[in-house]
Amino acid sequence: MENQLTDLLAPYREQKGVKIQVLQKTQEESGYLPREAVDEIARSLRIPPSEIFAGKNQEERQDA
Amino acid sequence: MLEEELKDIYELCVNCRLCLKHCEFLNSLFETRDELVGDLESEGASPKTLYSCTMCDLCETICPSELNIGRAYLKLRQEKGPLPVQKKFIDKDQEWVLSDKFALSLPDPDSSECRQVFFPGCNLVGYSVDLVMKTYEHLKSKLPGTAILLGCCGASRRECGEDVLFKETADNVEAEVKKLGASEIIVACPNCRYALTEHERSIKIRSVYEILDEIDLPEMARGDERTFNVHDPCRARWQDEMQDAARNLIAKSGHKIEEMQYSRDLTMCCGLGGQIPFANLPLSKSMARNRAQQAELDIVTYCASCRDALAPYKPTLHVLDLIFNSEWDEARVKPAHKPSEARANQTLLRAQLLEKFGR
Amino acid sequence: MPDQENHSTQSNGKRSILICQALGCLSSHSDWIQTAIEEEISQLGLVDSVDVKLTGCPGLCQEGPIVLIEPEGTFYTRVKPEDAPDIAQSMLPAGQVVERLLYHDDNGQPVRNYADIPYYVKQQHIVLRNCGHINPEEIDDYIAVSGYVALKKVLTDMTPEQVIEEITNSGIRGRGGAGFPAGRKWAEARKSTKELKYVICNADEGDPGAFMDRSTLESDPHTVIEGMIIAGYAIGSETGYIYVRAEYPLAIKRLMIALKQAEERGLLGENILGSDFSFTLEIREGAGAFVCGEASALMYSIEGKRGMPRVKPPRSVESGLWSMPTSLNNVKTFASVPVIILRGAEWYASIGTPNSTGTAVFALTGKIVNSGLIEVPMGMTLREIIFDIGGGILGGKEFKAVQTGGPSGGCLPASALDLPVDFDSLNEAGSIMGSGGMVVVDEDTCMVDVARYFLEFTQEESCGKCVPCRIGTQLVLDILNRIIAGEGKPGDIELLEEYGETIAKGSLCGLGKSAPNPVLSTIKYFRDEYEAHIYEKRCPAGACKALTAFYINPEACRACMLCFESCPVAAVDGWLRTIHIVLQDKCIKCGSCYDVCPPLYNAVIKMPVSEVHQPPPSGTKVPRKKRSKC
Repeated sequence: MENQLTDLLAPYREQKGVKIQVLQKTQEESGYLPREAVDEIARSLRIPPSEIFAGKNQEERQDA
Repeated sequence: MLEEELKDIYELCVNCRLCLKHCEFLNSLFETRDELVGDLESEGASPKTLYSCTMCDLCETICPSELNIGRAYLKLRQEKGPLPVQKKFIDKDQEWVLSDKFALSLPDPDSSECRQVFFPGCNLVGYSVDLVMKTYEHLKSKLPGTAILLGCCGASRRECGEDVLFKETADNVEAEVKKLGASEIIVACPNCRYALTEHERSIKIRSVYEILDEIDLPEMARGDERTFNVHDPCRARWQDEMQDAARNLIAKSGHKIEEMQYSRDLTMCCGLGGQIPFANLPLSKSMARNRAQQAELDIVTYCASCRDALAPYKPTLHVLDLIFNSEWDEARVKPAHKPSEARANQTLLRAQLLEKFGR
Repeated sequence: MPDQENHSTQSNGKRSILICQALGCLSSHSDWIQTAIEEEISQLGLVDSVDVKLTGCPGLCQEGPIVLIEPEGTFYTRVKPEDAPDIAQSMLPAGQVVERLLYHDDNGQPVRNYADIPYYVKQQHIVLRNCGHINPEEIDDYIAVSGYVALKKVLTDMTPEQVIEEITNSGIRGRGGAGFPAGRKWAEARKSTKELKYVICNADEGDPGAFMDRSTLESDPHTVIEGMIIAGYAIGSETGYIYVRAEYPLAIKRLMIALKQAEERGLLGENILGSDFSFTLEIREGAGAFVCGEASALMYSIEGKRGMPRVKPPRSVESGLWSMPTSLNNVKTFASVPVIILRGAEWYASIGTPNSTGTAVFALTGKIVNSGLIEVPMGMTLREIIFDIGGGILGGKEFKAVQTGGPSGGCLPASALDLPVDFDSLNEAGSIMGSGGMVVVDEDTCMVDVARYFLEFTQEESCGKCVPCRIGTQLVLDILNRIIAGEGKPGDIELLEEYGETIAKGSLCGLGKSAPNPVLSTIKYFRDEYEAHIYEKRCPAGACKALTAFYINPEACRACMLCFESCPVAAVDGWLRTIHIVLQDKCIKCGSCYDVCPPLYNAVIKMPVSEVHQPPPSGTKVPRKKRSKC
């Protein structure tokens, strides 16, 4: 699982605004969003997991 | 040509499939309405479909548009004629019943006039000479001026599609009744009634059951009270009065009735109609078996053919047994009579009648 | 489709068999048809003279799966894989057209060429010009029909300002629904001096039942790509995004193939066609939110943020994606761009009406005989569209209303049938053009229920930012649900109008601003239906279950048992020859009995619950009509 995720995340490392795309790709692979994947993605994109669960308001910082 | 019948089907059939579901003949040969229509359009290509219909009119009764498939097949039979095996048997049979081995026209010796004629048919005679004699004697005593006529109504000709011969035979019955000076015929067989009313007649046609219901029943040891299922013969399908009369007679004989689900106008054919045993004996037997199995109790019916068809599967009586036969309990399980027995009985009846009532 | 010059994409002199594999026909396994035909063609030894190809949507979806023979233009309908031998045989030198597969008109006459089919006669295809003629997965097919010629012309002969001028002069207004002049949008985006600019194609197509954009992307993705590259050149952008809703995997797949092929041919990427213009295009998928069809919410979604609209100003052309100038247009707008460039603004402006130039694409659906995609010049009347092209109402029923513009639009009654279809006249009548959804309803449709249907959708899709929209739509939905359940109160209609006004005024984005439209337009034109529901507890259309009872007319029932058998809850008391009775306390109002009762008897009727009378006793016989044998 971890290896798959690392491979999946690799192309997105340097890009902006990729959160939704990464989540979509992960869902395509596993059929759903596993809890562990959410943590791994959050770590990789350097955002708190809460941003993946709840999204972020536009007025805040622009990365991720 | 089935142009008119097909036109009706195209316009009026709504594909409810009730006929396909409830008629064993249709059910066994067709899965869809289109298959049935295809068969009619190709004029009943195979003998199996053409000669397997018992002509019982169940289809017309349950069809919401009152279409009659049996009549369509009858028309085809009229165009094609009977199967050789049917023709052979019926020709021989008709020759016999119309000959002086059976045919007889006997006025009431104890009356100067002749009002009504008792016409027992052929199968009731084959079933029991005794019942016919006792019935006639009872009628004669309660309704003076009752003659007796032995012959054939031509039903088997009708069902094979030999409509010319059928009309001739039926017309002859009317002629004999008139010759006797009577204006009414009392039939014992619903089949005879159906056949004789197929054409306009200038004589009145009633069943012996309605008559018996109007007059007193003979004194007889009635035996213990039973509860019976009633099997309405298919030719009595639309005769409410005959159905009521038969039931009244059973009650007057001291018994109770439980109706089957498919009774009266929804009655199911015993499998002997339409001369189908020649073309499709398995279907005929299956229909008899299925019908008998629908009864939870012993069966009483008012057609001798139905009686013999059902008896192998369930104890079955003719209603006249309950009225005139003190040994009716044994009669329930009497096996069906064979053609040779029928011939013997027919000759015997003729002789007995002549002896007792001949002048 | 109908009015094109040369349709043969075959420069090799071969004839082609084109099998539609856009989503509609594909759902009926038109891919199996292609396989079957390929097999037959091969067996007949015709491979050298006949090509068997995948194609996109010809538009008459009602008659699918569709197979076309070019260059003759033979149009086969409702094709099955079993028809492959006959079709292949027809391609032989002495082969005959397979007449039974042709479209047959109202008189039962076969029509061979699609251009003669009544459905197509009045249409004019610009956006859909290649749909059904080319293989969308083959860039050479697109190139063979003047594909990318406009791009070449733009890059070699025109300045960005000239491109913008051409688009402006054509008068084309955004086909996404708002109808903002595309030229003006591009001009404003060009004006900005920020270092990055973006072109976005809005392919989120959220209106329920709309499939114009989907079909275009599945059938001719290159025209959209070409339009976007030209837009990029015009406004000075090097990056474009196509935002496609995730529920369109086939469109996404075809787009990806097209993008790859375009890149391989040097039509995308660095130095396009040898010029110094570079442009890249990426696909971004939506994730199930209708509100992301709103431009600013869409851009946030691309940024990875929650899809919620923002206050404007600043408008997106000044500050959009990543706060950079962004020009966002609809699929159909981009699809028209190459044609405008090639044939000229004057030509385009000569079509349609002065304020609404060009053509409009509609997904014609609902209770209509010919449902599918159509493209007509702006200004054609609703009557012509619905009756001449659409073939009128299914089952010969009465037209009641036409709903345009999806959840943002309104319902127009029969009195509006002679309205010319364009942005302004639809707005004035109380509806909108929208993206092109056109739903036709008949006498059996309840207009209150139509309003409820759209409000249910809008309420669900509201992003929640603005209180009037978030709460107002729920309040409106509650009132509509009450009315439909037979619990409407005096004052409800007035309340709906008041809420509607508040929601529209207090909402930030188009979703909220237009959410009340279905309710307000149905109140405007069908107030009597609302009043019947509220004051008489009656649904005139016989559709609302709480107010409608199903009753079997004892004089018409012929005891066919069809309703008895179809009733899912055994609420019909019936037997052979016995008058059937609906057991009202068991009935769930599904309407199956109504649907299956043969038209010959027409015994099941819908009536207001309050009018249901006592049926005859159970077991009453149906009287025999034929003379009894006696």
